[in-house]
Amino acid sequence: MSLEELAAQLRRGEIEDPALAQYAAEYAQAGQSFRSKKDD
Amino acid sequence: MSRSADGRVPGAPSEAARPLLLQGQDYLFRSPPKCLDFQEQVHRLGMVDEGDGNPQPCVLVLARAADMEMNELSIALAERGIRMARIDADRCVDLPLSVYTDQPLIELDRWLLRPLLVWRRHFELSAVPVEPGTLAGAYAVDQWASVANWLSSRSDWAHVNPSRFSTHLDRLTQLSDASAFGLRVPRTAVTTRPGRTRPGGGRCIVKTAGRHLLEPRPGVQHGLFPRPLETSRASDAPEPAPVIVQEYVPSDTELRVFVVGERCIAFQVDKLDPAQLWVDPDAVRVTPTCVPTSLSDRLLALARHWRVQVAAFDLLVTGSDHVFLEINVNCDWRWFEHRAGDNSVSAAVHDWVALRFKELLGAGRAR
Repeated sequence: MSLEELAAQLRRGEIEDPALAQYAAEYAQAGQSFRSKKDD
Repeated sequence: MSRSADGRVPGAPSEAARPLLLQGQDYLFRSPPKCLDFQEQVHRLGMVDEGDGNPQPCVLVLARAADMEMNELSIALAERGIRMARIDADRCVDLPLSVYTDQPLIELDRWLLRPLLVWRRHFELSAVPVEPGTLAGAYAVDQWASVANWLSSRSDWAHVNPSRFSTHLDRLTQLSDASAFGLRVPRTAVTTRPGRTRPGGGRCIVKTAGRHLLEPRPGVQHGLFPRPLETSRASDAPEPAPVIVQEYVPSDTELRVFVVGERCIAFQVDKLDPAQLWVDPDAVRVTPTCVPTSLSDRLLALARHWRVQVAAFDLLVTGSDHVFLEINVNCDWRWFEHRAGDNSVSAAVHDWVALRFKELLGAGRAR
């Protein structure tokens, strides 16, 4: 699969691969927890 | 560990005996070294079509795992079919990496890559996961320091915010340059005796001369945020290291202006005190705004002077005047976007990086 297709799947929330789905869940969780962090 | 009745560890310095900028600072953030890079994940999982065996042009990012701006860039570049590769300070120990010295190529894990554009941000050596105070730890950090500096300044690659210029852009240089470009700056002193020093004679703010986050142990970040210099602070208590003392400038509001290439994207930031950005972000109001052309022209001129392409200016607004506070080269934009409900900086950064990459790719093919 191409990078573009995989990224589009991620954006649409349509990932079927279990390992990548786990990454997507972890990424979403990190996005939430790092919302309050300011690095600069 | 046993504590006394007031909660302090016996033998630890009292609050008043601690450096001024460490007093009352309880901001602590744990930054786990968990890979959150989309492109690294899909390549490691073998989900991406392999290329033809030739070195793959890429954007190379030196950062840390939890740099969410770069994690989002990885997805945005994937959407455009642009390969991004990553070296994170907190995940670099034992990384399979070979860097060619006679060709602009790297082998990262099992991929042969040709970086066209390199962006170093938040690749802090204090994040390298080694045991502090050990010879082996000092060795690994020193090797990574040298190689990371070389990677982020190689002349056969293009760079975002080139380190050879931005490394020396400390807050005090920023102030003198901004003043030379016609921006008003607060009266400022650098001192180990903040109790004696009051630029302007009235209320003052104490700021770090260095970073806003200290990482005494890898992955554990402590905040060092601006704070008012208490008027009751009549003592002459010496500080262990110099700090910045600045006159307090009463203002109507504050601005954060992101420069992305030749664009300025501004947010108005309303808060009650300087540290609120970090310690009570939900109380900070952030709204998209516009800035006068006379100001944006000056900021763009300063950015060109400092040779930074993506950075954030902090300014005070006093009537029709603007007071320069600082520029952040390793700037956060998602924090502001989240609070403003606006993703225009992300979009501009992603477009700018993609366009720059394509320019460099085209230039390489034309040679």
